[in-house]
Amino acid sequence: MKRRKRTLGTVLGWLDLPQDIDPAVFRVTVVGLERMTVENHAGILQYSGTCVRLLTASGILRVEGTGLLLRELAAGRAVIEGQIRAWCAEDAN
Amino acid sequence: MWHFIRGYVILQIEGMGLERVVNALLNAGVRVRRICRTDAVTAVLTMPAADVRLLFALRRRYRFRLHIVKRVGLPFAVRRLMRRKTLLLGTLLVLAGFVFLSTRVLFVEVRGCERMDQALLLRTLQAAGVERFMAWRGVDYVRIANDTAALFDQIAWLGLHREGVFLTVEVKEAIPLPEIEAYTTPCDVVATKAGVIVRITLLRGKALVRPGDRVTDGQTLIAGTVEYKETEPYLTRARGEVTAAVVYQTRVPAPETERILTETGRTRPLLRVRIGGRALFAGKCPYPVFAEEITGVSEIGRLFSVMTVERGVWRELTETERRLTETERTETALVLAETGTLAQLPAEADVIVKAAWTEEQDGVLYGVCRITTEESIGIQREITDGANGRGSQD
Repeated sequence: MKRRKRTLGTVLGWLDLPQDIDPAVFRVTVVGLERMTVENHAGILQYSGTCVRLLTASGILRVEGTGLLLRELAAGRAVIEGQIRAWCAEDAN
Repeated sequence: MWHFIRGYVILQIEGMGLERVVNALLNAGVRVRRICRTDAVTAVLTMPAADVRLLFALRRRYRFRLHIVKRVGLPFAVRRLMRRKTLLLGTLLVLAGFVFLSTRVLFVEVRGCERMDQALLLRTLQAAGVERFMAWRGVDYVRIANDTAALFDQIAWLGLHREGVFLTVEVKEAIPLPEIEAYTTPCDVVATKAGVIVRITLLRGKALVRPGDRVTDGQTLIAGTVEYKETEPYLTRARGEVTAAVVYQTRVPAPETERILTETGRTRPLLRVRIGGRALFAGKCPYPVFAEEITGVSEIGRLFSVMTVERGVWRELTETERRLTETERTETALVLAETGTLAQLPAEADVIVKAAWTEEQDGVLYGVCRITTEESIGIQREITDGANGRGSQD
């Protein structure tokens, strides 16, 4: 699996294409400090009003804040709303 | 909007490891919205109504309690409505009524019918098939209008215009032909009122007055009896335009008081519904004398035509008597005198001089207005006692 990911990333690099189209790479879009969209996630690990942990192919994405609400949750896409204070990768490999 | 149409359910899930439940839903392709943790073991979420069964199936596997907080959307509203058969039937009947009535002409209005008998015109149109509650589709309005116009000499043009459920019958009446003057009867031109002759234009007959002459009411201005030196007098139909300066004067006593309308303070709300400018519903004002004030007009929509709702208040008025000051008395007397004088003037008279003043007689104040006009004062009058000439010239 990892080899396939590496191969796709290498091919994209050779072809000079953006890594966005790689489904194994997650993408985070933050609008202001109140709305965050995470694409290409693999599921939710933990959710509370102050912390959301999402599983991605690259590791675990941790979002911290207050009054966090999962506005929309669908396969590969999550929209988090609330007072977002920080986000980080917990287990980058 | 789309969620409302599809229908969605707000659920409360209680149990440990709720994230696993959400992930199971995601793997099943369910789109979950508005997930909100209320405490460590409880969350509220929104999901499509069609996918709730899947959640019930997961309940045994992940051991959580499920509580439906609210069902929202069109499917649930329809389901609730379907249970109320009478309401559903009534709604369907009302809708059917609206649909049926929208295919009919509900209002027929005739415009431009002044000299002609409107009822007769409507009866004629009714005979041609144009009447209230007729179906407006498939009607040849142009042919009916032309056929109806051909039946009446008084109508120059007739048009039928339909807009929604309103049918307007527009009539252009024919201008009546002027009456042909009977030239056979000899007559004089006499004065209709007293005045000073300004100019005279003689067309036929013999002028008996000149500019500057003072004439009285009924005096002959142009004679129909024409005499030559060596012939016998003969009669003709005198014609001419005689313009004279005529004086009109009015003397009015100054009033001591005047009646004015004042508000009593009592008001009633006003509500009036109009469709296409016509009042469909209008409440009745309970006061005999009132003032109407519209405070807001709102358009509801376009069902048959634009429907407007007017809101406002009716204010009750009452007449009270007020004593006038000297200045007001003078002004009122002058206005009344001028109004009275102007009311006497014929429409075609040209005002030359106007003067207004006040005068006091026997302790009473009067307002006086005098207007001098220039107007035609000649009118033809048949000769009844002088028919001894040789005959008419015409």
